Amino acid sequence: MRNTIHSVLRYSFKTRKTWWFTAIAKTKARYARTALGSFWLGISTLMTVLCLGFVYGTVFNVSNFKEYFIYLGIGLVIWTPISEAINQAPLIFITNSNSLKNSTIKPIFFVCQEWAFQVQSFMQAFIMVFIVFLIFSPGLVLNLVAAPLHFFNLLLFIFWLQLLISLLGTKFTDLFQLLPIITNLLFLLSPILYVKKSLGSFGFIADFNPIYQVLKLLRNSIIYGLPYFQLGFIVLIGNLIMLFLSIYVYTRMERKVIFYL
Amino acid sequence: MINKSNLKVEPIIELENVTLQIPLMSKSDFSLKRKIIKSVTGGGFTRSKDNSFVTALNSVNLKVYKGEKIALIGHNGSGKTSFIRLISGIYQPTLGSLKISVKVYPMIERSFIVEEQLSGVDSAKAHYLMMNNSLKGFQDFLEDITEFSGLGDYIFLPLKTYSEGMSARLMFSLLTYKNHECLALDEGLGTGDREFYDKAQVRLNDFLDSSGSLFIASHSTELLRRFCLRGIVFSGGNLIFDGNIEEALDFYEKYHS
Repeated sequence: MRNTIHSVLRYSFKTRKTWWFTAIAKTKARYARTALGSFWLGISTLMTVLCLGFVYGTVFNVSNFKEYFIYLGIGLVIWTPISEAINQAPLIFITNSNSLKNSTIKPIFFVCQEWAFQVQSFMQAFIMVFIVFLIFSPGLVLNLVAAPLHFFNLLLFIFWLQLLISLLGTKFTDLFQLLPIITNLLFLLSPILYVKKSLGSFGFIADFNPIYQVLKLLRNSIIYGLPYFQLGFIVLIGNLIMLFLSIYVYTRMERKVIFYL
Repeated sequence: MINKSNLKVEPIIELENVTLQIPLMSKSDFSLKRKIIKSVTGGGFTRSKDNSFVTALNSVNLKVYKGEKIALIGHNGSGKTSFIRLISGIYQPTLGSLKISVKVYPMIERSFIVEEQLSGVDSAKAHYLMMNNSLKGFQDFLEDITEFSGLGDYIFLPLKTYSEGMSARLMFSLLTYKNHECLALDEGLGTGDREFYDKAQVRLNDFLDSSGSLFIASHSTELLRRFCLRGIVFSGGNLIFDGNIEEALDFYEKYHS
């Protein structure tokens, strides 16, 4: 088992330049005909924050709009790669079936490529939104010191979640239809548009939502500058366990994936 | 041409009673609902279609030695492409033993790695990275590709602006740039327009001549005779003949008729 997990990790590392490049190429292709290119990643997030901020800020009767915009903006930027990773994962092997059937490229390559695509999109959107927020709240830049562990947790979380869903989604094609519904529900159940105390006695829903736990630690470390080391390490351990578990499932299913396509 | 007496004794590829079964997935195999019902009812609710499969290769025994150039002969659906996928590592045998000590490079149906909104340069870069895991030497590669394909400045334009012939020329140039220790080619490589054909033939000949070991699956007896000394004939997933190329072609002709 160890050798197989090791060989998956080794292959992923060996081909890192290729999947990183093809992920960049995917972004370039997506925005090839636009004047602003990948700037749209940040612009679309900022526009969403602006619209939702005014509407829900008014609905929830927030007292400080500046703080609410930052809370909502950072939360949305972190939520986007998570939901995109979940929703796109079932299609990873299907959209690359030609390459999988006719070349020696391993399925994990395309999972890494999709992960790199989500990471690159996230980084571009995050940098742009963060720079805009710095204009209103320059102190945020110092808070970044508290965030590296939680950034790392987010990247790990997206990877194993995507890997696991891509394997399940290839076999159970219903998942592709089901997952967008689940992610929408999770979005509404996670304190992103609102603060946790608004859930009242239903606050436990957020406590048992693993996506929210990853999101919350990163968002709060950036907004409040608190490192949350203890919780961060617990999430890290959970992520590492799930990473190895998902790679193990992959090693068991790698040879079968091609037959589902 | 290869002299068999000079070949190493140890085979580079060895198949012993190799069977490849491709499972046929029914709609119920992909159904989450059915899996949930099955788990809830403890397997009481099942269908007996779980074991449906196609036998793509059946008890194949074969030894291939270094430097051998082998023709894969058979009608469509006889098992040639499955055999290429098997020795390339795309498929794993269901039964039997498969030992391979070389990296087999398959050329089956190829398409550009990047999307068509991107340029020929991007496509070449992705292909080069895939082959080498690094961009060291990429400029020389790009110059060779650009010159040989005759694309000129079109190499900087998006792939979607290419004609079918231009795409085929670029694809051919990318695929035949590097020699391989063991190459498995399924049918000929498209070469695009007529004026490129002669140039491509010379390169294809050099490319195939210089590959260490070679498998060619083709219906062109001219191509098979040009490059291969040995021929194996497939029918319905069974290896039914293995021998000299002329004998193999004669056998196939008689068998087929």
